[in-house]
Amino acid sequence: MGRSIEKDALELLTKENERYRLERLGLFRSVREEAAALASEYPPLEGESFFDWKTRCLREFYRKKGFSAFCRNNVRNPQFEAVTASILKLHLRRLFESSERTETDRYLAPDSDTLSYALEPEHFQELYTLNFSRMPSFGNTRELESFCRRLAADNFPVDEPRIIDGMKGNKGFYWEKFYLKLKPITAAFCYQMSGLAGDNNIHDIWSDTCISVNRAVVERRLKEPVDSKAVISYSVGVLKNKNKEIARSRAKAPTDIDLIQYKLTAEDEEKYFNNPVTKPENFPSHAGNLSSYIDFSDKDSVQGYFVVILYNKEHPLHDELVKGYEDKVQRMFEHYIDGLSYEEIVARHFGDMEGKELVKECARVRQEIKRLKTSLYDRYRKMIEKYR
Amino acid sequence: MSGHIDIRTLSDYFLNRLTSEEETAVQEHLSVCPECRARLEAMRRLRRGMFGEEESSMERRPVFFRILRSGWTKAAAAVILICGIGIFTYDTVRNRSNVVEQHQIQNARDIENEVFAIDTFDTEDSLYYQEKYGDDFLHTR
Repeated sequence: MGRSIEKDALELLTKENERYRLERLGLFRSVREEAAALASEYPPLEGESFFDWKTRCLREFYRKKGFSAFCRNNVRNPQFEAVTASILKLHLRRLFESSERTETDRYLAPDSDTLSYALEPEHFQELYTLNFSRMPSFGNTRELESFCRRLAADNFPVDEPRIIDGMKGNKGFYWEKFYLKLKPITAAFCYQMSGLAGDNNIHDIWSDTCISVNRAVVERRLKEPVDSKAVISYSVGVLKNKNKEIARSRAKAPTDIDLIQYKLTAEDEEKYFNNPVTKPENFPSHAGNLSSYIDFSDKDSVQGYFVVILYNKEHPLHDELVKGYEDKVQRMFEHYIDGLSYEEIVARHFGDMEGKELVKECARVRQEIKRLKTSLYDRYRKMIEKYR
Repeated sequence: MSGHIDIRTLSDYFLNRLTSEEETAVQEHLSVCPECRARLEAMRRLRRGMFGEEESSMERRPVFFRILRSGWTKAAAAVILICGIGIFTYDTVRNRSNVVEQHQIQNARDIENEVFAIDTFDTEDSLYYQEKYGDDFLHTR
């Protein structure tokens, strides 16, 4: 199968547009028109590799479009800020995945997540103001990308005191992650100390612990200097106390229950961190690890991942998403992906119809697809909450 | 890249999660593989179908539709609906109480008729039936 330069150029610009939201930012109006022009102006040279052709094409494209001036003009555009944030987050995720786990993450972040490499909104604003206010000259998106990569490497991982200060200042961004960290630990303590198991049974203990720890840190009741280990130690102490009460009230307390230390010991660490018990199979919070795939503050990311789950039948969450709607999803795919009209779908699935009957059936299929969209998206939202 | 792009990589490409080198490798494969291009296009179409149309059509909608979709219209519709339900419920309850009353009256009439019927079967009737059917009448009763 031979190459089609028009299609290749269209793919290049479509991807650039998806990644940097250029149409939305106003760099151009139509990807198709721009791609057609690009293909005619910059066909591959004799013996030129795909990589070289792509580099040359995009370099010329952005030069002609005046990308550098465009960036300067958009420095105060929230859409441009959002694009910059999403590029930074992407590089931070890569940094996180290729780095050793920091002490702070070990004690404060859920297993697959990070606080050290997370882009907290205020931190981003600081970085953006400092580095983008006098917009550096970016000839094309690749240069913007490199700049963001350097920015990520130079400013992360975030120092522990900064994260602790954020927690003292009651920043939800940090606390939400820490609460998720506490959930499997709560499960482990409950399971081993008071015999409680299951998400529902431990929920109250978990939420009480979250509130206690939050108050202690925000109201500065922990002994200074506070570090991540002090926060997790206090949390473990609260958990132990709560479980002690439960064990006593059940009159099944082991004789040595009073000997339990109100501090995180080395034994605790072995026992409760990175232990299989901290991740029981029926414990859903970490099952899907959606937080490592989805940027919950970015609508495009949330919607994109929804499409991936819906389209990819091999995805572990696909069955849960479409369960009970399989036939309807099939008809929706025929409409949106195969481009079949409602009449064609009716003819394919419900036989030949005419006149009013056909009109009625088409209206029903249209309504069905519309309702299905809402139902699937509602289900997806619940799944996000469950697997976050 | 030989064969086809696996769905995971294609999904990562779709979600902008690949490095620029990986992205270029995928694009190079897409340029010669219509099957993978079709799968990628399917995801893009699905996204447009699920989210694109809704947003663009909302933007293009005329004033009348925007009024129809506005919060005030919904609130007014809710008030009308609640009033309607109220009136309907009131009517139903009132009708139901009427029905109950009528039912009670009918029951009373039935009882009355029954009582009346017993009262009206008097000695003269007994004699009439005795004459007509003989003494057997007494046994058949």
